[in-house]
Amino acid sequence: MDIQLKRGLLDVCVLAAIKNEDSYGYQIIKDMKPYVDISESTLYPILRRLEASEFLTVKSVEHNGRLRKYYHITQAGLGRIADFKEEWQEIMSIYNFVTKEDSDK
Amino acid sequence: MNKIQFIAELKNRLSSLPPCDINKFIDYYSEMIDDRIEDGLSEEEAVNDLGNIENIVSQIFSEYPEKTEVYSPAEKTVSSGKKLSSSWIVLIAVLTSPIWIPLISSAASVVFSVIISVAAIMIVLYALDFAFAVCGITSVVASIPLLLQLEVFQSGMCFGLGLICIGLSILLFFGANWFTKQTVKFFKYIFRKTNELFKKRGAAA
Repeated sequence: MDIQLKRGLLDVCVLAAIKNEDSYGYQIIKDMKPYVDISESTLYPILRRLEASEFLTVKSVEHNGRLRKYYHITQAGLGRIADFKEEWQEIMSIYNFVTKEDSDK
Repeated sequence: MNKIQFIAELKNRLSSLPPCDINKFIDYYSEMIDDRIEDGLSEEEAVNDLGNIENIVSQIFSEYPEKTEVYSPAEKTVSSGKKLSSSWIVLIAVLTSPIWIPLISSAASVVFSVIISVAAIMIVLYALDFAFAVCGITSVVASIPLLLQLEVFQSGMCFGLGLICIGLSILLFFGANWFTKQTVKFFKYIFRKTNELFKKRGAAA
């Protein structure tokens, strides 16, 4: 897949992983695993980028005697997910059109 | 490799980066290892799960120079620093005011006079129309007593002229309405065009 495209898609994936409740790095990777494989080293810049864009906030929470970083989605982050869904409505109808042409042959 | 070795190795390979960032990476991968251990993996397994340390380091360095991108929706574009700062704009405006103030005033006066003239024409048309109507009706009405006085010719003249006047007033009424409509359309058009002009300027700024 095109690198830029994949990057944008993974960004939204991560947002979706923290959409319903705050989550932490390893949990996000586990949540995404059934759908898309992502490594720690891929996730790290995504989290940084999302934080810089203010789509999520980070807080350190004590857990079993160590600090764990929890990620929390912002309103803007939820907006990004909504935008993504809208964009894909359009892509889906184009996809339907393209595949329809094939099946007509 | 155990956790301590892994972290040490990572620190070593990242040593060229700013210490603050090195610590962030260390914390991140350390957390990943600890979470896996909590999930039930052994320390060795947890470290191995992270993959080849070479790959991790090269990925870190490949992502590194790029400043974190900020997502911008399709319409917005990042300002490339071409716009003039507002204090400069104000200064230039003040300095050149002897030129643009009179120009704008004359332009405004011209526009104003045009509007007044158009309004005057409209008023004249309706007034004329009203005059014709009154004339016409009065003439027609006046023809009746004349007829009763058996002044047939004069009655006829009156009546005829009255009808002509009434006819003209009806035509003029439609004419005046058409004129008003066109004027309103015209002004709406001008208004819209100036709005678009300002919007374009605003978007480019």
